[in-house]
Amino acid sequence: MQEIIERLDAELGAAPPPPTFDVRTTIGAGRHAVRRRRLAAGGAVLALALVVGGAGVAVTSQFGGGQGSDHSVLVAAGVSEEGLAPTSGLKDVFPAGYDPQDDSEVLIRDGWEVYQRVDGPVDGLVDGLVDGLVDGSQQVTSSVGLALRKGGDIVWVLLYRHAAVAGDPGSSTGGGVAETPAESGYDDLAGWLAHQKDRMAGTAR
Amino acid sequence: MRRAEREAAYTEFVAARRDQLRRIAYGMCGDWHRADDLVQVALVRLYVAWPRVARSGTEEPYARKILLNAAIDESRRAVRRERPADVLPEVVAPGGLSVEDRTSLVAALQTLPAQQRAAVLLRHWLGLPVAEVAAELGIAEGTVKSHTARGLSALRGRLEEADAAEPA
Repeated sequence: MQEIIERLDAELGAAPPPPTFDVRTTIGAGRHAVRRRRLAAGGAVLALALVVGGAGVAVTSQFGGGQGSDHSVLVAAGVSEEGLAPTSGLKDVFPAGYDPQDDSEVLIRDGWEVYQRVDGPVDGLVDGLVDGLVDGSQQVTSSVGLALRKGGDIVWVLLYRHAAVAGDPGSSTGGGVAETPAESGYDDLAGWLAHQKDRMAGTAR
Repeated sequence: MRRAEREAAYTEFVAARRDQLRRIAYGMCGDWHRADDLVQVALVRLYVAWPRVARSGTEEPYARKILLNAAIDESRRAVRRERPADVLPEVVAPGGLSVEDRTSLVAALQTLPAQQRAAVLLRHWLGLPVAEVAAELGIAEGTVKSHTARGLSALRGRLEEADAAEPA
Protein backbone atom coordinates (compact mmCIF):
# COMPACT_ATOMS: atom_id res chain seq x y z
CA MET A 1 0.00 0.00 0.00
CA GLN A 2 2.87 2.35 0.81
CA GLU A 3 4.08 2.12 -2.77
CA ILE A 4 0.67 3.14 -4.07
CA ILE A 5 0.51 6.14 -1.74
CA GLU A 6 4.01 7.22 -2.73
CA ARG A 7 3.17 6.96 -6.41
CA LEU A 8 -0.06 8.90 -5.90
CA ASP A 9 1.94 11.57 -4.10
CA ALA A 10 4.49 11.70 -6.90
CA GLU A 11 1.88 12.02 -9.65
CA LEU A 12 -0.67 14.28 -7.96
CA GLY A 13 1.78 16.26 -5.85
CA ALA A 14 3.86 17.38 -8.84
CA ALA A 15 3.38 20.96 -10.00
CA PRO A 16 0.17 21.08 -12.06
CA PRO A 17 0.02 22.90 -15.41
CA PRO A 18 -1.19 26.53 -15.24
CA PRO A 19 -4.95 26.70 -14.65
CA THR A 20 -7.21 27.50 -17.60
CA PHE A 21 -9.39 29.87 -15.54
CA ASP A 22 -8.96 32.61 -12.99
CA VAL A 23 -10.85 33.52 -9.86
CA ARG A 24 -12.49 36.57 -11.47
CA THR A 25 -14.23 34.30 -13.99
CA THR A 26 -15.52 32.17 -11.16
CA ILE A 27 -16.78 35.19 -9.23
CA GLY A 28 -18.56 36.49 -12.34
CA ALA A 29 -20.26 33.13 -12.88
CA GLY A 30 -21.04 32.97 -9.16
CA ARG A 31 -22.78 36.36 -9.23
CA HIS A 32 -24.94 35.22 -12.15
CA ALA A 33 -25.83 32.05 -10.26
CA VAL A 34 -26.77 34.07 -7.17
CA ARG A 35 -29.01 36.36 -9.24
CA ARG A 36 -30.77 33.35 -10.79
CA ARG A 37 -31.21 31.86 -7.33
CA ARG A 38 -32.65 35.09 -5.96
CA LEU A 39 -35.24 35.22 -8.71
CA ALA A 40 -36.11 31.57 -8.10
CA ALA A 41 -36.32 32.17 -4.33
CA GLY A 42 -38.64 35.11 -4.87
CA GLY A 43 -40.90 32.97 -7.02
CA ALA A 44 -40.88 30.13 -4.50
CA VAL A 45 -41.83 32.39 -1.61
CA LEU A 46 -44.60 33.94 -3.66
CA ALA A 47 -45.96 30.48 -4.43
CA LEU A 48 -45.79 29.55 -0.75
CA ALA A 49 -47.71 32.64 0.31
CA LEU A 50 -50.42 31.88 -2.21
CA VAL A 51 -50.73 28.37 -0.80
CA VAL A 52 -51.00 29.84 2.70
CA GLY A 53 -53.97 31.83 1.44
CA GLY A 54 -56.01 34.24 3.50
CA ALA A 55 -55.13 37.88 3.33
CA GLY A 56 -51.41 37.18 3.51
CA VAL A 57 -49.17 38.45 0.77
CA ALA A 58 -45.75 37.37 -0.22
CA VAL A 59 -42.56 38.75 1.20
CA THR A 60 -40.04 38.03 -1.46
CA SER A 61 -36.39 38.64 -2.00
CA GLN A 62 -36.73 39.38 -5.66
CA PHE A 63 -33.89 41.49 -6.90
CA GLY A 64 -33.23 43.52 -9.95
CA GLY A 65 -29.51 42.94 -9.56
CA GLY A 66 -27.03 44.98 -7.61
CA GLN A 67 -26.27 44.77 -3.94
CA GLY A 68 -27.43 46.66 -0.91
CA SER A 69 -27.29 50.44 -0.67
CA ASP A 70 -24.35 52.17 0.94
CA HIS A 71 -26.46 54.01 3.55
CA SER A 72 -27.75 52.39 6.72
CA VAL A 73 -31.19 50.95 7.33
CA LEU A 74 -33.88 53.19 8.85
CA VAL A 75 -34.91 52.12 12.34
CA ALA A 76 -36.94 53.89 15.00
CA ALA A 77 -35.44 54.71 18.41
CA GLY A 78 -35.02 51.60 20.55
CA VAL A 79 -35.18 49.16 17.62
CA SER A 80 -32.07 47.07 17.00
CA GLU A 81 -30.69 47.24 13.48
CA GLU A 82 -28.55 44.13 13.95
CA GLY A 83 -28.90 41.81 10.96
CA LEU A 84 -30.83 44.41 8.95
CA ALA A 85 -29.43 45.94 5.77
CA PRO A 86 -30.87 48.44 3.32
CA THR A 87 -31.44 47.60 -0.31
CA SER A 88 -32.65 49.27 -3.43
CA GLY A 89 -32.71 45.94 -5.24
CA LEU A 90 -36.08 44.55 -4.11
CA LYS A 91 -38.24 44.69 -7.22
CA ASP A 92 -41.66 44.00 -5.80
CA VAL A 93 -43.81 46.12 -3.54
CA PHE A 94 -42.98 44.36 -0.27
CA PRO A 95 -40.70 46.17 2.11
CA ALA A 96 -38.50 43.37 3.53
CA GLY A 97 -37.05 39.98 2.62
CA TYR A 98 -34.24 37.65 3.54
CA ASP A 99 -31.03 38.06 1.59
CA PRO A 100 -30.98 34.73 -0.28
CA GLN A 101 -27.20 34.67 -0.19
CA ASP A 102 -26.92 35.40 3.50
CA ASP A 103 -29.82 34.25 5.62
CA SER A 104 -28.49 36.03 8.69
CA GLU A 105 -29.38 39.28 6.97
CA VAL A 106 -32.80 40.81 6.33
CA LEU A 107 -32.94 43.41 3.59
CA ILE A 108 -35.15 46.44 4.14
CA ARG A 109 -36.35 48.30 1.11
CA ASP A 110 -35.14 51.88 0.84
CA GLY A 111 -37.52 54.43 2.32
CA TRP A 112 -39.15 52.01 4.81
CA GLU A 113 -38.53 52.45 8.53
CA VAL A 114 -38.55 49.54 10.97
CA TYR A 115 -40.43 50.83 14.01
CA GLN A 116 -40.98 47.54 15.81
CA ARG A 117 -39.12 44.25 15.80
CA VAL A 118 -39.74 40.83 17.39
CA ASP A 119 -36.91 38.32 17.11
CA GLY A 120 -37.68 34.60 16.81
CA PRO A 121 -41.50 34.73 16.96
CA VAL A 122 -41.87 31.30 15.34
CA ASP A 123 -38.44 29.79 16.08
CA GLY A 124 -38.52 26.05 16.73
CA LEU A 125 -42.00 25.70 15.26
CA VAL A 126 -42.61 22.73 13.00
CA ASP A 127 -44.01 24.43 9.94
CA GLY A 128 -47.11 22.56 8.85
CA LEU A 129 -47.69 24.78 5.82
CA VAL A 130 -45.06 23.22 3.59
CA ASP A 131 -44.16 19.71 2.58
CA GLY A 132 -40.97 18.77 4.37
CA LEU A 133 -38.13 16.72 3.00
CA VAL A 134 -38.51 13.87 5.43
CA ASP A 135 -41.65 13.89 7.52
CA GLY A 136 -43.98 16.39 5.90
CA SER A 137 -42.87 19.28 8.06
CA GLN A 138 -39.89 21.50 8.59
CA GLN A 139 -38.44 23.10 11.66
CA VAL A 140 -38.12 26.88 11.68
CA THR A 141 -34.57 27.77 12.72
CA SER A 142 -34.77 31.54 12.54
CA SER A 143 -37.52 34.11 12.21
CA VAL A 144 -38.24 37.77 12.70
CA GLY A 145 -41.38 39.88 12.88
CA LEU A 146 -41.17 43.49 11.72
CA ALA A 147 -43.49 46.45 11.68
CA LEU A 148 -42.51 48.88 8.93
CA ARG A 149 -43.82 52.25 7.88
CA LYS A 150 -43.33 54.63 5.00
CA GLY A 151 -45.30 57.86 4.92
CA GLY A 152 -48.79 56.81 5.95
CA ASP A 153 -48.37 53.14 4.99
CA ILE A 154 -47.80 50.42 7.58
CA VAL A 155 -46.97 46.78 6.84
CA TRP A 156 -46.32 43.89 9.23
CA VAL A 157 -43.91 41.24 8.03
CA LEU A 158 -43.03 37.78 9.30
CA LEU A 159 -39.97 36.10 7.77
CA TYR A 160 -38.73 32.61 8.61
CA ARG A 161 -36.09 30.09 7.58
CA HIS A 162 -36.12 26.30 7.79
CA ALA A 163 -33.19 24.08 8.68
CA ALA A 164 -30.82 23.18 5.86
CA VAL A 165 -30.41 19.55 4.85
CA ALA A 166 -27.48 18.04 6.77
CA GLY A 167 -24.24 18.54 4.87
CA ASP A 168 -25.70 21.03 2.43
CA PRO A 169 -25.76 24.53 3.90
CA GLY A 170 -27.09 25.87 0.60
CA SER A 171 -30.34 23.95 0.87
CA SER A 172 -32.19 26.01 3.47
CA THR A 173 -35.68 27.17 2.48
CA GLY A 174 -38.08 29.60 4.03
CA GLY A 175 -40.97 31.93 3.52
CA GLY A 176 -42.87 34.84 4.85
CA VAL A 177 -46.13 36.76 4.96
CA ALA A 178 -46.96 40.43 5.11
CA GLU A 179 -50.18 42.28 5.79
CA THR A 180 -51.35 45.76 6.54
CA PRO A 181 -53.07 46.16 9.94
CA ALA A 182 -56.33 46.95 8.14
CA GLU A 183 -56.16 43.69 6.17
CA SER A 184 -55.24 41.65 9.22
CA GLY A 185 -57.95 42.71 11.65
CA TYR A 186 -55.39 42.83 14.47
CA ASP A 187 -54.57 45.82 16.62
CA ASP A 188 -50.85 45.22 17.04
CA LEU A 189 -47.86 43.30 15.70
CA ALA A 190 -47.76 40.92 18.70
CA GLY A 191 -51.36 39.79 18.17
CA TRP A 192 -50.81 39.33 14.44
CA LEU A 193 -47.62 37.31 15.02
CA ALA A 194 -49.42 35.07 17.51
CA HIS A 195 -52.07 34.43 14.85
CA GLN A 196 -49.41 33.63 12.24
CA LYS A 197 -47.78 31.22 14.68
CA ASP A 198 -51.06 29.42 15.24
CA ARG A 199 -51.64 29.28 11.51
CA MET A 200 -48.25 27.74 10.84
CA ALA A 201 -48.75 25.24 13.65
CA GLY A 202 -52.09 24.28 12.14
CA THR A 203 -54.25 25.50 15.03
CA ALA A 204 -55.75 28.51 13.25
CA ARG A 205 -57.22 29.26 9.85
CA MET B 1 -20.87 40.88 5.94
CA ARG B 2 -20.99 42.96 2.76
CA ARG B 3 -20.33 41.57 -0.68
CA ALA B 4 -16.84 43.06 -1.00
CA GLU B 5 -15.73 41.41 2.24
CA ARG B 6 -17.34 38.11 1.28
CA GLU B 7 -15.66 38.12 -2.10
CA ALA B 8 -12.29 39.00 -0.59
CA ALA B 9 -12.54 36.01 1.77
CA TYR B 10 -13.71 33.78 -1.09
CA THR B 11 -10.85 34.92 -3.33
CA GLU B 12 -8.33 34.28 -0.59
CA PHE B 13 -9.69 30.78 -0.04
CA VAL B 14 -9.67 29.97 -3.76
CA ALA B 15 -6.13 31.27 -4.19
CA ALA B 16 -4.94 29.08 -1.34
CA ARG B 17 -6.85 25.92 -2.28
CA ARG B 18 -7.22 26.01 -6.06
CA ASP B 19 -4.23 23.81 -6.89
CA GLN B 20 -5.19 21.23 -4.28
CA LEU B 21 -8.73 21.09 -5.70
CA ARG B 22 -7.34 20.82 -9.22
CA ARG B 23 -5.18 17.87 -8.16
CA ILE B 24 -8.16 16.09 -6.63
CA ALA B 25 -10.17 16.73 -9.80
CA TYR B 26 -7.28 15.44 -11.92
CA GLY B 27 -7.13 12.32 -9.78
CA MET B 28 -10.85 11.85 -10.42
CA CYS B 29 -10.82 12.34 -14.20
CA GLY B 30 -7.20 11.92 -15.37
CA ASP B 31 -7.29 15.01 -17.60
CA TRP B 32 -6.21 18.51 -16.60
CA HIS B 33 -8.68 20.33 -18.86
CA ARG B 34 -11.64 18.38 -17.56
CA ALA B 35 -10.25 18.80 -14.06
CA ASP B 36 -10.31 22.58 -14.49
CA ASP B 37 -13.90 22.41 -15.75
CA LEU B 38 -14.91 20.42 -12.67
CA VAL B 39 -13.12 22.82 -10.32
CA GLN B 40 -14.85 25.78 -11.94
CA VAL B 41 -18.27 24.15 -11.50
CA ALA B 42 -17.45 23.48 -7.85
CA LEU B 43 -16.14 27.00 -7.23
CA VAL B 44 -19.27 28.61 -8.67
CA ARG B 45 -21.40 26.48 -6.35
CA LEU B 46 -19.09 27.36 -3.50
CA TYR B 47 -19.53 31.08 -4.27
CA VAL B 48 -23.31 30.75 -4.01
CA ALA B 49 -23.11 28.91 -0.69
CA TRP B 50 -20.14 30.93 0.62
CA PRO B 51 -21.85 33.03 3.33
CA ARG B 52 -23.35 30.01 5.04
CA VAL B 53 -20.32 27.78 4.50
CA ALA B 54 -17.86 30.40 5.76
CA ARG B 55 -20.00 31.07 8.80
CA SER B 56 -19.88 27.39 9.75
CA GLY B 57 -16.12 27.19 9.02
CA THR B 58 -16.58 24.26 6.62
CA GLU B 59 -15.20 25.86 3.46
CA GLU B 60 -12.66 23.16 2.70
CA PRO B 61 -14.74 20.00 3.20
CA TYR B 62 -17.68 21.65 1.44
CA ALA B 63 -15.54 22.60 -1.58
CA ARG B 64 -14.15 19.06 -1.76
CA LYS B 65 -17.59 17.54 -1.41
CA ILE B 66 -19.16 19.53 -4.24
CA LEU B 67 -16.10 18.92 -6.42
CA LEU B 68 -16.30 15.15 -5.88
CA ASN B 69 -20.05 15.20 -6.45
CA ALA B 70 -19.50 17.05 -9.73
CA ALA B 71 -16.85 14.51 -10.76
CA ILE B 72 -19.02 11.52 -9.80
CA ASP B 73 -22.02 13.04 -11.63
CA GLU B 74 -19.88 13.56 -14.71
CA SER B 75 -18.70 9.95 -14.61
CA ARG B 76 -22.32 8.77 -14.42
CA ARG B 77 -23.31 11.01 -17.32
CA ALA B 78 -20.43 9.60 -19.35
CA VAL B 79 -21.66 6.08 -18.67
CA ARG B 80 -25.22 7.05 -19.70
CA ARG B 81 -23.91 8.54 -22.94
CA GLU B 82 -22.81 5.05 -24.02
CA ARG B 83 -25.27 3.58 -26.53
CA PRO B 84 -25.75 0.02 -27.80
CA ALA B 85 -24.49 -0.50 -31.37
CA ASP B 86 -24.81 -3.26 -33.96
CA VAL B 87 -21.11 -3.28 -34.66
CA LEU B 88 -18.64 -3.24 -31.83
CA PRO B 89 -16.17 -0.38 -32.08
CA GLU B 90 -12.50 -1.15 -32.15
CA VAL B 91 -11.06 -0.86 -28.70
CA VAL B 92 -7.48 -0.48 -27.72
CA ALA B 93 -6.34 -3.47 -25.72
CA PRO B 94 -4.62 -2.74 -22.43
CA GLY B 95 -1.37 -3.86 -24.02
CA GLY B 96 -1.75 -1.03 -26.52
CA LEU B 97 -1.44 1.65 -23.86
CA SER B 98 1.77 3.60 -23.73
CA VAL B 99 4.31 2.55 -21.14
CA GLU B 100 3.68 5.90 -19.42
CA ASP B 101 -0.07 5.24 -19.17
CA ARG B 102 0.39 1.66 -18.07
CA THR B 103 2.62 2.71 -15.19
CA SER B 104 0.60 5.81 -14.29
CA LEU B 105 -1.37 5.42 -11.11
CA VAL B 106 -3.70 8.27 -12.09
CA ALA B 107 -4.52 6.38 -15.30
CA ALA B 108 -5.06 3.22 -13.26
CA LEU B 109 -7.38 5.16 -10.93
CA GLN B 110 -9.65 5.91 -13.89
CA THR B 111 -10.44 2.21 -14.20
CA LEU B 112 -12.12 2.24 -10.76
CA PRO B 113 -15.79 3.13 -10.24
CA ALA B 114 -16.11 6.87 -9.45
CA GLN B 115 -17.06 6.53 -5.80
CA GLN B 116 -14.28 3.99 -5.19
CA ARG B 117 -11.83 6.38 -6.84
CA ALA B 118 -13.01 9.24 -4.62
CA ALA B 119 -12.72 7.10 -1.49
CA VAL B 120 -9.14 6.07 -2.37
CA LEU B 121 -8.12 9.68 -3.03
CA LEU B 122 -9.63 11.08 0.16
CA ARG B 123 -8.49 8.25 2.42
CA HIS B 124 -5.07 7.38 1.02
CA TRP B 125 -3.85 10.47 -0.75
CA LEU B 126 -5.29 13.20 1.48
CA GLY B 127 -5.10 10.93 4.54
CA LEU B 128 -8.57 11.82 5.86
CA PRO B 129 -10.06 9.64 8.61
CA VAL B 130 -12.66 7.07 7.53
CA ALA B 131 -15.45 9.01 9.29
CA GLU B 132 -14.59 12.19 7.39
CA VAL B 133 -14.45 10.38 4.05
CA ALA B 134 -17.84 8.84 4.83
CA ALA B 135 -19.30 12.28 5.64
CA GLU B 136 -17.88 13.91 2.51
CA LEU B 137 -19.11 11.17 0.21
CA GLY B 138 -22.39 10.68 2.03
CA ILE B 139 -21.84 6.94 2.50
CA ALA B 140 -21.43 4.61 5.51
CA GLU B 141 -18.02 4.11 7.10
CA GLY B 142 -18.18 0.40 6.25
CA THR B 143 -18.72 1.32 2.60
CA VAL B 144 -15.65 3.56 2.70
CA LYS B 145 -13.59 0.66 4.04
CA SER B 146 -14.81 -1.73 1.36
CA HIS B 147 -14.35 0.88 -1.40
CA THR B 148 -10.77 1.61 -0.35
CA ALA B 149 -9.87 -2.07 0.12
CA ARG B 150 -11.24 -3.01 -3.33
CA GLY B 151 -9.78 0.10 -4.92
CA LEU B 152 -6.29 -0.51 -3.56
CA SER B 153 -6.43 -4.16 -4.53
CA ALA B 154 -7.43 -3.25 -8.09
CA LEU B 155 -4.68 -0.62 -8.31
CA ARG B 156 -2.11 -3.09 -7.04
CA GLY B 157 -3.22 -5.57 -9.70
CA ARG B 158 -2.93 -2.94 -12.45
CA LEU B 159 0.56 -1.95 -11.37
CA GLU B 160 1.72 -5.56 -11.20
CA GLU B 161 0.40 -6.12 -14.72
CA ALA B 162 2.20 -3.02 -15.91
CA ASP B 163 5.46 -4.06 -14.24
CA ALA B 164 5.21 -7.53 -15.74
CA ALA B 165 4.57 -6.06 -19.22
CA GLU B 166 7.50 -3.69 -19.05
CA PRO B 167 10.48 -4.81 -21.13
CA ALA B 168 13.39 -5.97 -18.99
